[in-house]
Amino acid sequence: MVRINFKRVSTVAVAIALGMLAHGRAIAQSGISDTEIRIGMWTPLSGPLSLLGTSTRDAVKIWSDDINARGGIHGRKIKFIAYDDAGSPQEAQAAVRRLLTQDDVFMLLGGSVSGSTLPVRQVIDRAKVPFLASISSNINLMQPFSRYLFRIYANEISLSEHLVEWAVKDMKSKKPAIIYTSNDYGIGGYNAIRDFMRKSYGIDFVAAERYNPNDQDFSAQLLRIRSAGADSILVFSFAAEAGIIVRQAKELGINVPLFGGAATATPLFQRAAGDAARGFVAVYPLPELTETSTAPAVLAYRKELEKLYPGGMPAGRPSEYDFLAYTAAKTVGQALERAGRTLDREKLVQELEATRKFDTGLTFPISYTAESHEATGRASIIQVGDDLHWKMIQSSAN
Amino acid sequence: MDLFWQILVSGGMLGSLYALVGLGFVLIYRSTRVVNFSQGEMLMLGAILALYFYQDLKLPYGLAFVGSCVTVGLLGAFLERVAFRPLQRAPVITLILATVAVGQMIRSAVRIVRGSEVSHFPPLFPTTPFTVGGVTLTALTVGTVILSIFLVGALVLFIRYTRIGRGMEAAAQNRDAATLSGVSINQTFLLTWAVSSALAAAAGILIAPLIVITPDMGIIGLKGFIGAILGGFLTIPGAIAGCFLLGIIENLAGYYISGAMKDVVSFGLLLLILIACPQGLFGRQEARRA
Amino acid sequence: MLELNGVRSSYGRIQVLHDVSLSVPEGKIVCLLGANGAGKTTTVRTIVGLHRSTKNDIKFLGKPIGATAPHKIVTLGIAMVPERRDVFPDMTVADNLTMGAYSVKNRSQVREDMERVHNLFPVLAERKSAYAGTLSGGQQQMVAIGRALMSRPKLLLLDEPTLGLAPLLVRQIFEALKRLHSEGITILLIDQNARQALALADYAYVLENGRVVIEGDSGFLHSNPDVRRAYLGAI
Repeated sequence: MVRINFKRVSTVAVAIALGMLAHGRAIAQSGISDTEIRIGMWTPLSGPLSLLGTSTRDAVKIWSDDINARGGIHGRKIKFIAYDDAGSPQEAQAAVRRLLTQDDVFMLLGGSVSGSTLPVRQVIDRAKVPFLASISSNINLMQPFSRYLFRIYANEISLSEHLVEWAVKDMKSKKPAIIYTSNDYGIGGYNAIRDFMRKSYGIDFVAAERYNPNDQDFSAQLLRIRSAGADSILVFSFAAEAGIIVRQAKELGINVPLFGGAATATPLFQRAAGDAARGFVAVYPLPELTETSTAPAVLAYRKELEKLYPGGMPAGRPSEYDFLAYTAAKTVGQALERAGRTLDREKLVQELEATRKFDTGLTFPISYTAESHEATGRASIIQVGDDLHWKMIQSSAN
Repeated sequence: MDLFWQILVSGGMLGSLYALVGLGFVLIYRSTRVVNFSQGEMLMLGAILALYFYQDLKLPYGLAFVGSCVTVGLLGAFLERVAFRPLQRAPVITLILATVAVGQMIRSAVRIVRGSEVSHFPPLFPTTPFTVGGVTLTALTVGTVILSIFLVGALVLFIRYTRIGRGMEAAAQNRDAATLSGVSINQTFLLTWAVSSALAAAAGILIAPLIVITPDMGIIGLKGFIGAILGGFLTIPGAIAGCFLLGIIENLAGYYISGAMKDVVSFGLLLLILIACPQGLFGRQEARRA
Repeated sequence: MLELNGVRSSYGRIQVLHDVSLSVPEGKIVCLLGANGAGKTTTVRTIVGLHRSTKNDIKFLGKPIGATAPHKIVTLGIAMVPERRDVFPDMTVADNLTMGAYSVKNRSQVREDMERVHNLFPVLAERKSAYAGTLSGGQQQMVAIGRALMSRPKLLLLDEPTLGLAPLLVRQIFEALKRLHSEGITILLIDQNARQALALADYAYVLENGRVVIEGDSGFLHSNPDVRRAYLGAI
């Protein structure tokens, strides 16, 4: 005979139920009130990746200030809450938990670098809080498909496919090599490029060299690439490291064409690489160069950003993360407009999915469907000219 | 075979830079028993100041170099006076934490002033590669190695042959006996911090054209620390040898094993060496102290 | 020459010296006796400023020196040989000796004094390029004494110079002290070997728990029954 202490069991059951309720309550609140919509962000505002985060935060701030100055959306003002994760996955987790439970945000915008976004993906999905990502291009952010996750620009696979097409098809590289950093960005990029190259062109890398974040000497990896007789090198790193790699490659007498992933397509790259930057080709997620474009939308944004920094624009700004986050915010804005006064998270998702060719002039046009939350597959190819400025050499049509 | 030499040369070059930073660690440790973890930030500051003097103030390179070393040296002396001397009687762990705190403060201050700006120190010597016996070199790398060996040599001579240097050495070996011989311990410590900081600054300026200047570039300073431990933290020649060895091991491991395994292999080796001979490869038994 | 007048000294809250008064007249050898922990070492460390006293009425040649920075003491003409053969282990014997002349600007004087030290301890001349840390205990003690002499002191303080040395070496060291004394150096000596110390000294003090309990001519102390019982091993 098994004797069950019903009193104890029921106490436990009630406790569990209460716990679930409390848990559910904590993350399933509406995120809105009659007068405000809370939008949350975790992003690197300090540390080596702070350019990405500050750009993203500033863009959303410019947008929300503008919305609020005009009285909000359907009578609700935007309350924008941004936390610094310093690019660390641990801090990202803490920040997201806080945004979801304590701050009870309606949605999340921007996000952090891949390494600090992938670990919180599931938490966000489970909480059913919409998240429109504007920094991470990692493919795994959208896989498996989640109804609540959206991305504002081409993912790393689309981006790398453009780069591989340029290197292998247009530049006719037969023996490409790759050097990449051992984090989510580098490893994800490497896997995607390798698979695409095999499938589409039947080519393998003659050397695939990995290094650790914070490494500052790459001669061993570059020598291996040199020994393998590579005729082009893909550099899948952040801009500062890519700058050192490119310089050290030249100093070791490696004179093959060098290509870089989207993270290298920033003016920081030339500042890190110096003269060795000349001729470097990178894939770029925008149709306009942030530095030199004179498109009206770009000029208008730059003017708004200058107001945030009356003492002078920080180096590297506006960056493409400015444009991506601003477009992301506006994409949310137009969806909220359409959603109307009666609002909940499901409705926002529906309206985001109804976005078709929404064009801010800063990025490629944004389209979502119920099946695809990737805004676009388009990208550009840019190159460092003799004057050490990026030049647009190909802007993709599809 | 050529490649083997190439790896040795690249590794040795790296090692010479590690040695510059490593010596700063050793100097301070020997006299105060403190591992100064702000050494990397001094390195970073040296590079940034030199860049500022050279590029923004348009000073000649030599002047920018010396100016930066002197400024950082003075900062080191200032920190000794206001932050570390008051803690002299505190447990060593407190002092080490204080150095970590100072380092973080410098790093944050630089980040506030410069943001996440990345810059590149224009190379002093041409970077066009040339080959000698199958080894690819550039005037920049050769010049950098020569300069850093020159600086390390100058430091060794300074300690060996100048009165102040002898005093520093004596105070490091035996504080009481040095005092009784007429060496002022306070002055010596001040000087030790100044010299170590200036040395770190010099290392930063020399490394800068080879890497990039960011608030985090000081991380490379840690390699100097590890190299110095490898060589036995207490003697200057040992530390120099350890740093060269570390640079070479890193590159050998990076080439023959894997780039991603470079740190695993070199740190693993460090562990093995420390287990096998806790005094480091070239270290002597730690001197008995009164 | 050296006067201590009611010197008090403590480590933290524990007072180690209570009113120690003693004097070392010029040209004499004075010795300080006492058990371990009686305060002998603290007394000499207080004299040279390595230990800060709470009451530091110390005069040297009539001038107060209690507030002098420790590294300045040597320039006044006081040199100390610390206990436990305190050398610079990673310096050569020659460098150790040169360090002793750190405050001496005159190069020819340094050369002269080096000669004198080599004369006193010929073995140091033979081993001048050896690292001091590799020498035997007796040789290290010679290095420490030699280093102290390099500053041409008027007063030499020695803290247990023969502790743990073989009898032959002890004799050698004492011979050297006798010679230095005959050359006009005043000596304050701490020694465990009271019999030997009293044989050499003119005057002696006995410390107990940080106080002077007995003082007198060495002859008097040698015959004092208390001293005999406590320090000379007699019954």
